[in-house]
Amino acid sequence: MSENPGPRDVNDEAGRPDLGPTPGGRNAEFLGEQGQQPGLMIDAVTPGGEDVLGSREPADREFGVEARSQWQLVLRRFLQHKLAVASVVVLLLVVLFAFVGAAVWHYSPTQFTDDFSAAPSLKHPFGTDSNGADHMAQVMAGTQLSLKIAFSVSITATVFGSIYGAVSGYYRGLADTLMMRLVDLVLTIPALAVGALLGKKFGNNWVLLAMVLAGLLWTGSARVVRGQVLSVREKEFVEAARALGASDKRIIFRHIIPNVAGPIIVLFTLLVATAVLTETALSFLGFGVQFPDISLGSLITAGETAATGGRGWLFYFPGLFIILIALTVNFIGDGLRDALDPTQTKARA
Amino acid sequence: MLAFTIRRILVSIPILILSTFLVFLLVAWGADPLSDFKSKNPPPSPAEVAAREHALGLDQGLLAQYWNWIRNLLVHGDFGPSVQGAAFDINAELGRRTWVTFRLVICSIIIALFLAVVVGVITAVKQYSVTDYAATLVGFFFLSLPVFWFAILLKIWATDLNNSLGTNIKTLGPPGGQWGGIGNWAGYLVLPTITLALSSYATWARFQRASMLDVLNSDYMRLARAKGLSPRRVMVRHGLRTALIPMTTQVTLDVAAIMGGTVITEQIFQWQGLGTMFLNGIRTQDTNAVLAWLLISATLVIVFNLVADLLYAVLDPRIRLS
Repeated sequence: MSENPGPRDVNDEAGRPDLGPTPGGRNAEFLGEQGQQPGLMIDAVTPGGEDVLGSREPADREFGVEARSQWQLVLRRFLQHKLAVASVVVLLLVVLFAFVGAAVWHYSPTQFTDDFSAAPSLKHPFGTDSNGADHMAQVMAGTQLSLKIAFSVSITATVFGSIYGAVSGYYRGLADTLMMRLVDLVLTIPALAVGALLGKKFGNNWVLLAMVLAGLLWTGSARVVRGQVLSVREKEFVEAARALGASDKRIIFRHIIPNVAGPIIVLFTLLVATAVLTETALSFLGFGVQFPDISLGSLITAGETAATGGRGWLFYFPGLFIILIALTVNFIGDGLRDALDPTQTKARA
Repeated sequence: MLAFTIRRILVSIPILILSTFLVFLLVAWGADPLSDFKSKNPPPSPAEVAAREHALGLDQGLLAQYWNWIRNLLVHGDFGPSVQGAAFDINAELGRRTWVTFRLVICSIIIALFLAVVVGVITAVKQYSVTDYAATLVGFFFLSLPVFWFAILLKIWATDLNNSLGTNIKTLGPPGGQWGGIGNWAGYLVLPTITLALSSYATWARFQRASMLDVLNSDYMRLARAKGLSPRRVMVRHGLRTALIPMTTQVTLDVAAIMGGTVITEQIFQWQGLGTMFLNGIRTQDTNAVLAWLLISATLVIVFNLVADLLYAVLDPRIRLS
């Protein structure tokens, strides 16, 4: 369908008056109000275009039209979000820098060279600190740990929150009420507070620190998934599954959760950014990752005094990497949100 | 609506009690509030330690300690003694510090709100224009900015500015919460206000844009235009007024989070507000100070949640509380 003529952004914002004489614009809106899938209908009625739905094998085509799966469509839409694609590339570079770079780079973060407080140069691209440790090696180690924590936090929190929300929304009634009161309870306790309380105890073990953070950040996905499940559970296919004798467990895991996968994936991505910012903030305050482990946050604690003393590189580089991670992840989440939105028809072809 | 309010308040009370209990266990579990006292030189005698423990009620079990705390609070309105010494009276500190934090937060909320509404409306009206993309990019940048890093950066810039232009921007908060004359207000407020405003406006601007887009696409907007109202009147009276309703609830919810989330800003600019009290409480393992802070911030979350729901019902005629 990629050779289909005419602009396809008709449904991008149905009803915008300044869209002008876009072919099918009014049509789409009209049909949309009748509860049709607007995107599909436009294809069928594009004025001047062929009747696409009816022409499975037009005479002038030498190829068959292959059906695309849902995920192929999502991928195509995602690839059209240029910032998101660029962000994937940059994030991968950051990951390579942190994991491969640390293995290849000829200085280790704990190794003291003879260059004390050296400004960035070819020998030390990010400079050195007052002990002579190579700052690029430190930033690599910090990025590595911050990434590991962030991804562990968001995977754990999303998996737990989604299952929790799905169960709560599926059973409704008393169980739902009690489970949501627990969410309210967790929400009254600021993440930073409990992180600070427990981080002080578990900071020397990053897995435990990640679990503490996950235990505070799961409520968002629980709420969103519950809301989605409340509407999905009323759909016919759930009723059909139940009529076929499927167990509750099977319905939740095989039928409901895959159907709310879109919001879950988006929440997961955005949670990575939240987790990076929370972990580095805690480590900055001295409650997160503890020495001898290095986090981007604890590097900034050390860099704060250095920056006022004219050695700004010790402050700017770790901050830059936090921003890089959070920014790229936010853009990827935005791209995924557009790509996974089923009402989005802008980039169908 | 009165019945709804009363029911919600009644439901909130057990949540508040449970949340203080959880935090109490978290702080008290494995902590030794007297570790600073015991490691003094010369070391205090066992009798002195025992007397201190008894005075603070630490010689009782955890449950008994919590029971004492909550009874004291409910009966006498007393948040209990602090291990940070007799000079640190939690009850008096709480009132003073709430005021300090409030002063810190209120300006930035107003500025952030104004920025968010302006940016949100412009980007919605000019959707997919260069302005829209630029504002979105800037918004994403501020969303991804670590607050603590940004705050320090501002301090460094302000110091440079002070040195080169002779301005008087204060990089640390008022000592003891005293402004020292109206002339100093702006100097103290400018950096933390910028920090907090820029770190919270972006989410609101996105929200305002989405809700404005919703409204712009609705039938009554087309009707308003069709009956010949001026574009300005259509936008402001019919568009913006409606688009502000979801925004009001969102902001109300976030204000509680901002009040409780000034920990980092206060720490970096050394404002003696609630956030620093909490951090010091954790550092000195002062259970009562941490609990007092938690009670304030949790109450704020619950109260603002309730206010958001009520506001929504008052502002949006389609919502009826049952």
